[in-house]
Parts: sequence; C-alpha cells; structure tokens
Amino acid sequence: MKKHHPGRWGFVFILPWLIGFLLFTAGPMIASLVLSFTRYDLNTIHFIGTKNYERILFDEPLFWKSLQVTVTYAFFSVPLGIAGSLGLALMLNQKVAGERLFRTLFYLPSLVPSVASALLWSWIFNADNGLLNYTLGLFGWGGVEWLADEKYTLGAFVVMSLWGIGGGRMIIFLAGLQGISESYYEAARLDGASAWRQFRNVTLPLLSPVMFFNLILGVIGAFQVFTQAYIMTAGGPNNATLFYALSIFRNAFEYFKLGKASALAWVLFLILLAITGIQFWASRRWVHYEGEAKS
Amino acid sequence: MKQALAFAGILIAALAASNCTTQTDRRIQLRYMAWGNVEQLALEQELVDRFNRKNPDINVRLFKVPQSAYGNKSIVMFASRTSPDVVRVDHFNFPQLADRNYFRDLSEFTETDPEFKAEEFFPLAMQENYSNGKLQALNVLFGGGVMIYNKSLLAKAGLADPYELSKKGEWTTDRALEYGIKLTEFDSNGRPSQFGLGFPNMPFYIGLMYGFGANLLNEDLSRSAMDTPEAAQALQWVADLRWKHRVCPSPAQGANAAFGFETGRLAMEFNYIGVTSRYREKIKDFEWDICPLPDGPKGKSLFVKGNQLVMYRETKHPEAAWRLMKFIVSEEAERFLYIEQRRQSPTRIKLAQSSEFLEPKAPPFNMPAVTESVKSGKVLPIGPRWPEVVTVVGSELDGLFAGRDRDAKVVLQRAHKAVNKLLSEDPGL
Repeated sequence: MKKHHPGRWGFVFILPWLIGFLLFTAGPMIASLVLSFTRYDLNTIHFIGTKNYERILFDEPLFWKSLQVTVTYAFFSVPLGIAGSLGLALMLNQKVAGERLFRTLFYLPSLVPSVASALLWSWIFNADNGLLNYTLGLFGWGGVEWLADEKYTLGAFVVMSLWGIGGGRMIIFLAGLQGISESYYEAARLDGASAWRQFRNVTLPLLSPVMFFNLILGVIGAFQVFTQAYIMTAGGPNNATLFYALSIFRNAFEYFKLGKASALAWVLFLILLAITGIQFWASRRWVHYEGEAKS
Repeated sequence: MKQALAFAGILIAALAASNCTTQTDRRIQLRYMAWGNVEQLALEQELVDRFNRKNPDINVRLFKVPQSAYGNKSIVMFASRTSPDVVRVDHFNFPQLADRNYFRDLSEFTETDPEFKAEEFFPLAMQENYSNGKLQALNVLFGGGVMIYNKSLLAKAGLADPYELSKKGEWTTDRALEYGIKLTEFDSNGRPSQFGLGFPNMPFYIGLMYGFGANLLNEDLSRSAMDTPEAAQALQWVADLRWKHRVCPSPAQGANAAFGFETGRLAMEFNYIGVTSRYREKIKDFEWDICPLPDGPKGKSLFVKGNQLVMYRETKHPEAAWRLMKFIVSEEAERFLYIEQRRQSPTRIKLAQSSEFLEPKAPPFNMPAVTESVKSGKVLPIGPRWPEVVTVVGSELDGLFAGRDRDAKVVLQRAHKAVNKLLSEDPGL
C-alpha cells in the first residue's frame, strides 16, 4: 500500500508560486548580489570586489543625500499616514447611515494609478494657479513654489503621501477594529471609562498588532518611493527629492552603472532589514497579542 | 459537444491559415523603432508605408514606444539583444549608447553605396553621427533652436521685426532683453498678464553661452569649461531675465498653460521649428514668425541638434536595414517630412536651400533662420557621460534658475568642480 504524503501535495499546490518566486524574485536577487561586486554597463562585465560598496559609502555624496531625503520622508509620512488611516478607520467604523458608501468613497482615491495622482498633485501644487496656493491665498498666504523650492518640495511629497490614507492600510485598520470584541468596551463602560479611555486602553492595545504590521509595510513603502519623484520633480530641485529608489534607477538605467545600482539595492535591503529588526525588537514593548500573557 | 468540435475545427483552420501566410511571405521582415506624438508617428507610418510599396521584397513594421518609456525601452532592447533593426535615438543619448557598441559602423555602406553621397548633407548633420571616430548613424529631425515671436504684439508695441534686425546683425541679447522688458505687462494687482520672453531652458542656455564666448565643457568633453567669466556672464543674463528683470515666467508660471505661446500672452519664446506645426493649427488670431537666437557679445548663439537613425549591430538584415535608412534620409522622404510637413530642417543642403523650403505659403515664413542654424550653428557638448553631466549641472543650476542663488559665478564654480570631479572618476563606478 502506498504511503500517503500530505506534505507532497502541499508542495505541488505551491509549486506555481515557488517557480515564480525562484525565477522572478530569488533569481534576480542573487543575480543583483553578484552584480554588486562587478563593474557592469550592460555591455562588459568585470569583477571589482567591494569597490562599488566603498564608492557608495565613502565617496558618493548623493548616496547620503538620497538616504537623508528618504529617511526624512519616512519619518514624517509614515506616522502621519498611520495616524490618518487609523482616524479614518475609526470614523468609518461608526454605525451611521450610508457607512458602506462612505467607505467606498474614502477608498476610491487609492485606486487612482500613481502616475495619474502624481500629475493631479502637480496641478494642485502649481505655485501660480494651483488649488493649494489658491486656498492659502484666501487667508492671505501662498505664493510658495511647492515643487520648485527645495525648502518645501519634500514637505509637499509628505502631504501628497496622505492621499493614500484611505487605501489598503485603512481597510486593514477597519478589519482590525471590527475584530475587537464588543465585550471589552462593555466592560470598560461598566467601569466608567470615557470614550478616550476606551480608545487608549482597549482599542489601541488590541489594535497594536495591526498597527505594527502597517508600520513595517509603511516604512518599507516609504523607502521605495519612486514614481512621484520621477514624474513630478525628477529628483530636483537640487536633489531635494532624490529618493533612494530614484537614485538606484538613475545609476542603472540612465548612467548604465548596473553594478553600483545593485550595490545600492543591497545596501537598501540591509538598511530595511536592520530597521525591521529594530521594529520587531521594540514591538515587544508595545504590541499586545490577544490571549498572550505579557511578561 | 458539436459546438466544441466546431470551435476546435475553426481554431485549427485559423492556425493553418496563419501558418500558410507566414510560409508564403518571403519578404525580409524589418522592425523600425521610433517615438513621437500622434502626428509624428502618423508621419513615420506614412514613410514606412511608402518604403514598403517601393520595396516589395522588404516588409518594415513600425515599432512605436511612448516617449516617456522610449529611453529605457531602447536600452533594455539593445542590451538584451532584442532590438529592432533600425532605431531612432535622441542625440542626447546617442554618444552614450554608441560608446557601448550597440550600433553598426555605417561606413561599410556609405563607402560602397554609389547612391549615398555624404557631401549632399550639411557637415554639421554628418558630424553629429560620429562617435569614437566611426560613422554610426544618419541624421533625422535635424535642426537648430530658433526664437518664435508674436508679430502682432511686437507691432503693437512699436518694435522692429527681430528677423529684419538679425539680417543686419542687430538682433542681440541686449536687444532681446529690451524687447522682453517692453513686452512684459502686469495687471492692476501687480501680477504678470503677459511675458516678453519664454525661459531659455537646456539646451537653449548652452546656445546663449556660445554667444557669450563660453561653453559647458571643453573641446574633447573631458573637463568643465564653466569657470570662465564669459560662462558666468551668459548664465547671469539668463537668470536675470527671470529674477531681476522679471520678463520670463517663473518655473510655476512656465508650467501654466495660460502663458503658452498659443495664448498670445507670451511674446517671444525659445523653441524648435518642430513645434510650429501645432501653432499653424492652433493660432488663428495673431501673426507670428521665427528669427534666429540673439547674438551674444562674442558671436552667434546658434546650435544644432538632431536625432540619430542607427542600425542595430546584430541585425540579421543589414542590407535591407541600410536601404530603409537611406530611404528615410532620401530626397523624397526629406521633402515629405521637412517641406510638406515642416517637422524640422532637411539635412540635405539642396533641399534646405530650395525655394520650396525657404518660401513657404504658411507661417513661419522666415525659414532662412532655420537654414542659418544648421549651416553655422555649433554642435552641443554631448558625450558618452552626458546624462550624468546634465544631472550634476542641472542640480547646481536649479538654484540659479529658481531664484534661490543670485550669483551665477558662485553657482558655476560649484558646477565646475562637481563636473570635473565626475569626469575624473572611473565612468563605471
């Protein structure tokens, strides 16, 4: 009698994904790791050891500039985005007439392709006749060259990132909110907890795993910003929006320095790995899993 | 069941039919890649159709790629050895790609084909096609920058025609600034309602540097040439148009269609002749024409720039590809593209000097301004590292042109150092 191997069937079922992963993710990753130790211009290839990494870390001011731009952007856009998505999810979790309609309406902007939204925001930020300066002008402010003055450009990108607060992140928060049992709130109310106390001591702790998930994805997403900078400012003015991913793209496809671009990509991978590791380490202090005793 | 069988039968018949077509089509299959707006691509298709009709043994298919993706697409196709046989490349990218040996040396054809005579083309148009001493392209959509001006506005302001001034050698940067000031108007709130001049973006400011006796890079493109007083003087003149004299739109105002030349609220602009096909269609309520770029204190500001038509090095049909390339720069094709459709200047001297090109029936009428550019303009300092150079220069000049830095000399010193550092480094790292 044949022996039954349930694991084998599982393997068969995930095989299509596995093949895709090996061919389109793991394969290119290994290839880029190898390329990062070469001088490769799409034509000739030479092994050069760690020269690409030395160049990036010790003799490439634009590497540090792009890292500074990206970290600054992540520092502001991720917390603001998470707070915005959570706030929106809390509002849309209310039992009011037309709640489904509201949820759909707030989700809609995230369906706009990033290229289209970048163009839309270019018009909004137009210093001469844009909506933002027009609105500010009503209060006596305005006249700011949002996308041409390096003092404001990154701020404009942070504001633009809030366009996505109604997207997938909000849906995840909404699902998390709906997963919190009403009994916790009932118990809190019986103890006389105010709405704020309920939010602070019931909602936030029970939502912390969801928030942690969104935080990790948000930071990774912030480090991958490309389309908006490529379309709206091309990294300018004066490299004020030279995001890390744009820098990789330029080195690879504008300057044909594919070895250096691969090294930049691996440095980014290591940075994200370190940040994610720190987040996991720190999460022990603030992320609470339901039913899990905290030490 | 019957339906499924019938469907399978139809499918098999269709496959067999398509197979038959492939087997009977013994023509050489070529692919030609180009980009452009809808009008330009329609013209490219017309050229391909004409070629196919004249060459029944060859079937050329036009491979269209959107402009925004064209650069990356062509690079990836060259590198992955899937490139079309003939490709149009922007001159800004040509030396960089040629340096990677993606293109076939055309001298094997030009030296043996009795129909091709290099002396029939403008020397500058041929000069752009060389890289590393090898002829690697033919020039198409060639031309120089010009100024396009609103004749009605100038006449209303009582200003002499700049084309007439240029003929007497009196169309200078000083005069252009004077025109800019006189033609800029403000509304009662102090907001500009009309600008005298459009901003001379790259490569027009390089042309103006020529006029001031300066250049971006030295002769062999190995070092920056921006540390001269002439370079500072030229770019100060450019920046002052916007921030001192306020006769040019700011970056944001420039992005505002309300100040487009077609609206009649921009009196003069720096542009290419190719844009005029749109103006002929759109502009109905004022007269307009073209003139050369203004001379600087040290000479002419004229420059040339074209696109390069290249043959992919590994094409399987080099002879057929050469026939297509030769056709695209033939008298017939150039007459169609540049005289009937007026997309740019002919590269053929005879056509560019013919009365049919120089005396058109519709604006712009001052076509000798174009011929003057292609005859005596300078080529732009574009070498294999141009994309990096222009990024470095651009990020330094951003501050000057956006009004944060006011002293061109200081900005150019920084740009000079940055470019020299770049060019002294290993190009692969």
